[in-house]
Amino acid sequence: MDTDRGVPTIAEAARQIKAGMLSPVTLVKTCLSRIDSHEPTIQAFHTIFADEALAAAEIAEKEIESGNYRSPLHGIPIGLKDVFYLKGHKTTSNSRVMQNFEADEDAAVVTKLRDAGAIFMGQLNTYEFTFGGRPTFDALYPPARNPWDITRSTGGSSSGSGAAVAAGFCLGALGSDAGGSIRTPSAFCGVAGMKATFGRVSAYGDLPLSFSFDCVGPMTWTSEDSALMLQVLAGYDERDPNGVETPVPDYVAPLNDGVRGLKVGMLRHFYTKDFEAPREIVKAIDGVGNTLRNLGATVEEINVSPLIDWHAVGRVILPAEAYAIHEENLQNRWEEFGPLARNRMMLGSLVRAVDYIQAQRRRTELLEEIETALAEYDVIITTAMLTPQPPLDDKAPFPFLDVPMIAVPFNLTLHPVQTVRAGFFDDGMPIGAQIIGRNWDEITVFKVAHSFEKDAGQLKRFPDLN
Amino acid sequence: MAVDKKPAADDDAIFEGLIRASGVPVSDQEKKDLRKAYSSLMGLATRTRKPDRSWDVRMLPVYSPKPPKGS
Repeated sequence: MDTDRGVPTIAEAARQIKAGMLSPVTLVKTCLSRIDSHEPTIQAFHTIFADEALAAAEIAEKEIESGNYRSPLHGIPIGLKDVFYLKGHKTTSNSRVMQNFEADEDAAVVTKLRDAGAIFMGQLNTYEFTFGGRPTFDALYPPARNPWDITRSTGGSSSGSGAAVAAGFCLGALGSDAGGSIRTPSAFCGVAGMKATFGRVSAYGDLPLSFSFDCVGPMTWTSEDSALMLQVLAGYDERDPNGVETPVPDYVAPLNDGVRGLKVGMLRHFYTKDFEAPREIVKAIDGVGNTLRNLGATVEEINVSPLIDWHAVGRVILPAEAYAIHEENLQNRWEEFGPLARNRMMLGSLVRAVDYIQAQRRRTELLEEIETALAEYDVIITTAMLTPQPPLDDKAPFPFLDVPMIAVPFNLTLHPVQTVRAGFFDDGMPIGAQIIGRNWDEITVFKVAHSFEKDAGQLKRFPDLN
Repeated sequence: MAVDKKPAADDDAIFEGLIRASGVPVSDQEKKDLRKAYSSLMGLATRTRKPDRSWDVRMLPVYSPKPPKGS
């Protein structure tokens, strides 16, 4: 196991850049050197912007030297999942259907990062059209590999984002999440990831998978870094019909306020009874609760409907919406889809209107259950994964129908969730936990995540890329 | 008269009809995989139904959480 990550966190780098102790050019060169050495193995990127990144870093350096420091992301190397409009570049979502698509403007979040002074290192791998399940070998680009073990899945669909952050190719990355696509690769790759409250971050210019679930968010090494990125990404955008006009609070200042006095609900039955997860997962997630109790929080077990009920609702709604989005291309350009993605989307053609509506009604009831729990508890903790990272070449066409989706419940309920590294399997692979908060209260979620990370020390282990 | 309790949704004829109606050409192998997946999917769809559910449990009209008070 490597004892040095090779790159700083965003928070560390930002402090040094602002103080003139670290050059953005040096930082970008460090990331490019790591990419040169390890990208052929990890395959995190679809496209690498080496020259553009260096040129942008030189501009950032001059701006900062002349006193024009824009934000804590100024001069910070960031990767973009290849689902966001990026003027001057193709946006493919890893599909042959989109291989010639070039938007004539940036996605809302790309504009925000650009304005904040972030340096774009490249476009990151994804599962075809961001449909999760298993990596696709039959799409436009080969799948990303998990830096902790290149024979294992990164999780998806933000597969390249998880791999690139874990490998230190960039300090943060953009992901998107309609059924765990930020949280699963974060957990599988041992990094932090935030799915903010639905409507908090504009999804304008994000190639869609689902009308009612799609969220955009940061993936980083620490939760402090997620807070720094969300600070830039959050905010109302009238171009996103799901956007909500509400103020964006300061996510960073309260990070060290601690958890004393907070009430934490442990949603254990999801991973102990509804699905019997391996003992390492149970130990790691229970350990998050124990750490928070030791830090002064009140920790109690809570109960909601069985995980399979949440899974059922998500599995009916998600393919139906994905099919509706892609119907025309599936009918007319079906041969350009990889068979795995095509079949996963075809499931949506089998969902009748009455099935979809009944699932949406059940969703209303389930949402009320979490709202009731969060009226009493400040946050809820559960696992972000039910099984170890599967082999990369597992080709089961519909694995998500049989193993419950642990991330889906909080797409249904819209609440903010942070994934943190909770521990490790005996074989050294990371385990992730989900911290769920009240709508719009990402602050408390970040506070709990940051307190846990500081106390538990799980982030002191790094993947060995050699 | 006895009623056949076989779930109507998990039915070969309905499956074939929905695939045909989609207008998407699928191979025999894909259709075989999808038929299996369809059974799993309809099992899940059954779970979303509750016989005692009140009329006033409606689907959410707008999929955004309400803004916080005072904003």
